[in-house]
Amino acid sequence: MLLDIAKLSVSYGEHLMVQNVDLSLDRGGVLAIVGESGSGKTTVIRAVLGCLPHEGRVTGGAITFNGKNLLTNTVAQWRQLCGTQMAMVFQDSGSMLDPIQRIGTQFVEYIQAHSSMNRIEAAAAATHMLARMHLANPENVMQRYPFELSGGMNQRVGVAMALFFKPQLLLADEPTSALDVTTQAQVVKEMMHICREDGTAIIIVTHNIGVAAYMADEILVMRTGRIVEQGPSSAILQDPQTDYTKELLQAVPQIGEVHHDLY
Amino acid sequence: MTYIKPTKKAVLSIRDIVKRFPTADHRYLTACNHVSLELHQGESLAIVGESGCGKSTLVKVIMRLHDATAGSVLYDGQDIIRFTGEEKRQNYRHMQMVFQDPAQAFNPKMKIRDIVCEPLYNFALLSKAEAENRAKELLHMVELPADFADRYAANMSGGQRQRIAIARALALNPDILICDEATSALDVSVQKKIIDLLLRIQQQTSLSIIFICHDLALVYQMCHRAAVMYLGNIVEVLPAGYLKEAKHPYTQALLRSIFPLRAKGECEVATLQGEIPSPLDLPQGCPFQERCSFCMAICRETVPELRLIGREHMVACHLLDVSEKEVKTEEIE
Repeated sequence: MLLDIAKLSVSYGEHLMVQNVDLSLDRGGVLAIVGESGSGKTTVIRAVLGCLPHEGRVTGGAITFNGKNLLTNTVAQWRQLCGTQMAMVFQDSGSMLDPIQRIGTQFVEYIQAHSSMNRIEAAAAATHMLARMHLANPENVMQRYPFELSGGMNQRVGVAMALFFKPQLLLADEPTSALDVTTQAQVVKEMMHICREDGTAIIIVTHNIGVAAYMADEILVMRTGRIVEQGPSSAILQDPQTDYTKELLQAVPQIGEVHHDLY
Repeated sequence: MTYIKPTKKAVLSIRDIVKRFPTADHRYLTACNHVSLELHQGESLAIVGESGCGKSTLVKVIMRLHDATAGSVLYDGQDIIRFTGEEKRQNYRHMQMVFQDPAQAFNPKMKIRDIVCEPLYNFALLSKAEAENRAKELLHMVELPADFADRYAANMSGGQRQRIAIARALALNPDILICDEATSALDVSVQKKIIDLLLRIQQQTSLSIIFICHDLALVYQMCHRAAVMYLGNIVEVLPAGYLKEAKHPYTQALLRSIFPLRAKGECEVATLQGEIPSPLDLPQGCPFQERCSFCMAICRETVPELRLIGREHMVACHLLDVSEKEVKTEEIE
C-alpha cells in the first residue's frame, strides 16, 4: 500500500475542518475526492503534502506513506519527499509560477533543487517533459513568461513540473476546473497517460464528477469535513447509497437524447 | 425543469456586429467578426465557446460596455449602439447583466437592501422610505429570507450572492437579462438551484435571457437555443435540446470533450487538437480550418456563410455543400 490515512482530523484554529477521514491508495491507483466547496477535500490532500495553510494543523489520526508516518517528518525529510516522491498540481498553475521568471528558468531551478543535473542537462530534460505534455514548440515555451501562455498551457507546465521526477503519488487539486472543456479533456488525458506510463498514483480533488469518473478507480464523496460515501466509481455512480450522493449526481447536467421540443 | 414556449418575436436583433481592438503593435484583434443573432421574447439563448472566442465581448457590446466597430443592435426598432448620454442610460432599464464572480460584483460597504434597490434609486423609481418593502419583495423573488436586507454581501455564500445579483438585475423589470458565466463559479448543486430559479422567473415574467456558458450539458438542459462561437464567428445556431444533432465539426468536437457520468473505461472522450488560434490575424477562409479534421481546399479560401438547414438550425460549414452535392449526384445516378 502506498498511502494510508487513518482517522485524520484537521483543524483551522478552533474550527474542526476535517473529521475521521480514512482512505488508502495502492501503487498506481487513482482516487477521486468529490464534494462541494468547503467540504474539506482540498484540506485532506494538503495535509498529505504537509502544506496546510495558515492555522491549519493535523489534530488526530495518522498519514502513512510507504510505511512511514508523515506526521513525524522533519523539515529536511519533507524536502526529500516533496517534488520527487510526492508532487502536487494546483488549480491555477499560472499563479503558482513565478511571474517574472521564464518557464525554462524556473523549471531548471526546480530540477536542480532535487537532482544533481547541470543546467544544460536540466533544460534538455525539461523540454522533453514539456513535449510529453503535448505542448507545441516546447523550446519556445521554455523562453516564455507565464503571462505569455494561455491558462491551458500554464496548466500543462504545472503538470509537467509535478510529474518530472516520476513521483509515486500525484496530488491534483482541481487541476482542470479553470480550463475550457476542450482543454480540460486534453490535459486530463495527457496527465493520465503519463501517470500510467510512470506508474504514478493519483489523488484528484475535483467538483467535476465527470472528470472524477473518467480518471478514478475509486470515488470518495465528502461533505462538511466527513466522508459521506466511498467505493468503486461504478458503484458510486450507478448505485449511490446516500441521499447526498444521489442529490449531487442528479445536479450534474448531462446531455441525453432530444428532450424539449420547443420549436 | 419546466420551460416556457418562446414567441418568434425578436426582442433584440444583433446585426453584423464587428468589434476590433487595436493592439500596441498597430495590429487589430478581432473579437467579434460580423456576428448576427436574434433573441426572441421569452427565450433563453446560450452563447457557447472556448475562452477567447469573443462571447463576452459580444454581450459587452450589447450592454454598451464596449463600443462596436461596426454593426447595429436593434431593440424595439431602435439601434441602441447609436445611443449616447441620457438615452444610453435610460436603455439600461430594458437590459441588465449578472456577472460571473458574485464576490466582486457588489460594493462591500453597501447593505443588501441598498444593493438590490440601487437600480431603482438610479432611475428615481423608489424613495428610501419604500426601500424596505421593495427589498423584501425582491429577496422573496430570489427565495432569500427578508432579514438578508440588513446584511452585507461578504457574509454570504456564493450561491446567495448570485441570487442577490439576479435580484438586483431584475429590480427594474428588464426585458432582457444577460448572464455572463453566471453559474460557473458555483458548485453543481448550487448551480442547479440558481438555474431552477432563473427558469421559474422566466416562466412568470417571460424574460428573455442571453446565457453565456461553456458547459454544453447545462445549455442542453436549460436553454431554448444555443449559438456556438469560434474565433469571433458564430459557426452554428441550433435548438439546445437538439445539441446532439449538431452538424458543425467544432460543435461536435465540443460535445465529445464532455466527461459523462460513466465509470472509468466505459466511455472514451475525444480531444480536439491544439488551442484556439490567435484572434490577431484571422485566417483567410473558415475560422476553424486549423483544427478541423475535414478541412478542404475551399475552407482555406472562403468563409462559409451561416445558412438555415432545418428548423431554427443554422450552420456555417462548407461540408454541408459537399454532402448536398453527394446527395444530388446519388439522386441523378
